[in-house]
Amino acid sequence: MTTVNREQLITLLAERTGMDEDRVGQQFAELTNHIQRVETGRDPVRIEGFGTFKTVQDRLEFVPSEILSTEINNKYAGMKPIELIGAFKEPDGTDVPVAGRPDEAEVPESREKEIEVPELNGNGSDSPEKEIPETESVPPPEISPGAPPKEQADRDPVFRQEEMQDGDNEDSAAPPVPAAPAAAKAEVGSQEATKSLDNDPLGKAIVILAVILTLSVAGWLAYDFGLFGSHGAGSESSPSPGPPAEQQRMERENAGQPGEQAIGEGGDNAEPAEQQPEPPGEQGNETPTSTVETEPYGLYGEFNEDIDSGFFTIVVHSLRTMELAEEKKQGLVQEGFRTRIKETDINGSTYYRVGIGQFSTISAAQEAVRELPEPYQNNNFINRF
Amino acid sequence: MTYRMDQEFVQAFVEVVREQIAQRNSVRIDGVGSFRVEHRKQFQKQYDNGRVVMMPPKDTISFTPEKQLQS
Repeated sequence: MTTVNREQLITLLAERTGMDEDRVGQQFAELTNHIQRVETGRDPVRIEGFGTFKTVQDRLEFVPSEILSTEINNKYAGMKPIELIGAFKEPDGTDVPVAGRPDEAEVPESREKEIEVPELNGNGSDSPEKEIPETESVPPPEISPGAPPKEQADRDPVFRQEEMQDGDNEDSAAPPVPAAPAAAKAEVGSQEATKSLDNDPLGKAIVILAVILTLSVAGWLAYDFGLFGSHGAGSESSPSPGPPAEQQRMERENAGQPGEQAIGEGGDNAEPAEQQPEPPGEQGNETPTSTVETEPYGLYGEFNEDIDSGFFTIVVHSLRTMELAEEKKQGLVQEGFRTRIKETDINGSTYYRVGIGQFSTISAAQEAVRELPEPYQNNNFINRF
Repeated sequence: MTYRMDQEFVQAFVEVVREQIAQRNSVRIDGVGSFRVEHRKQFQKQYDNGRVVMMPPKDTISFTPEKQLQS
């Protein structure tokens, strides 16, 4: 890591623009002046594709543009925050959740008690009222069972007389018998209800308390076990990043072969004759190679000479000699990639970078990296040519 | 806004500085300040509601203004 100072910068700029160094120096002074003026004038200066200079409390600040910050961060681009459920809580935060949760949990519970008790009392007082109508409603159902035999008797004249007699006896005999126990039950029920009502305030309250206590204890235990369980899992930091990576792989695979999967499922359900369309489907995944050629940007096809610089590419080789780079390039061209070699200077030594594909944005290049075959899949970086 | 600078020059300036920063070089511009890449490690972030999240590592550009300008 070296520092590029003004002289080096001017030399580089002169190379880039083709202006002579004096003029570049002039322009450079103009630019710095401009930025300095902003500092006093408090008007933010925006430089396209670079960032914004502004003054906050007499201090010049620079906010990089989105393109620049993603370009710098391209190694980690696309990484998202990973949720750690309860993991690593203990080192710094055990007291916080343990002290916080019970208070939160207990306050609503005490309110629930206040609410639940009157409700249950209300049910208790309702129950005798309900049971009294039940005794009245019990006889009608018992009469209706008596009615079907009559209907049957109407249909079958043979059995009519006998059943009529039986039915009459039953009808006359039956209702009083059940009615009496029902009434007795009703009386007993109301007595019981009144008894239970008497016991209610104490007994039910105790029962409710016990239930609530057991529930809260169970909740506590569950919470604790959950904490320990996830803590145990979380103590190894690698597993937690693992699943997302697997998901990404899955997504890649899904994204990579959607046609094949869909066809495969279809083939299972349908007759074997329908499996014949499969090869065309697979070819369909490859056909973009031919269509891409006409597009200005892409991974495969002929190198688009119209876009000579300022595109993003996937660098898969970085070599010390042009011969080696050319060799690699030929191989890649035969594999169907757009290939371009670029000379770069790294710490004073020259490298020849072999890049494949032309992309307008970093994200497009990153997407293309996923499609790359194995030797390049994990060994590449995105660079601006 | 007095723009007496070439658009071409500004474009080239942006590209050169971007390239240099991307190569992890720091760029010092006299009278303004210096740019350099800083790496930030991954870190845990706890929200007020108890949610714990591991933020990914990150490379950022840090800009240090020149001292004369701070006065």
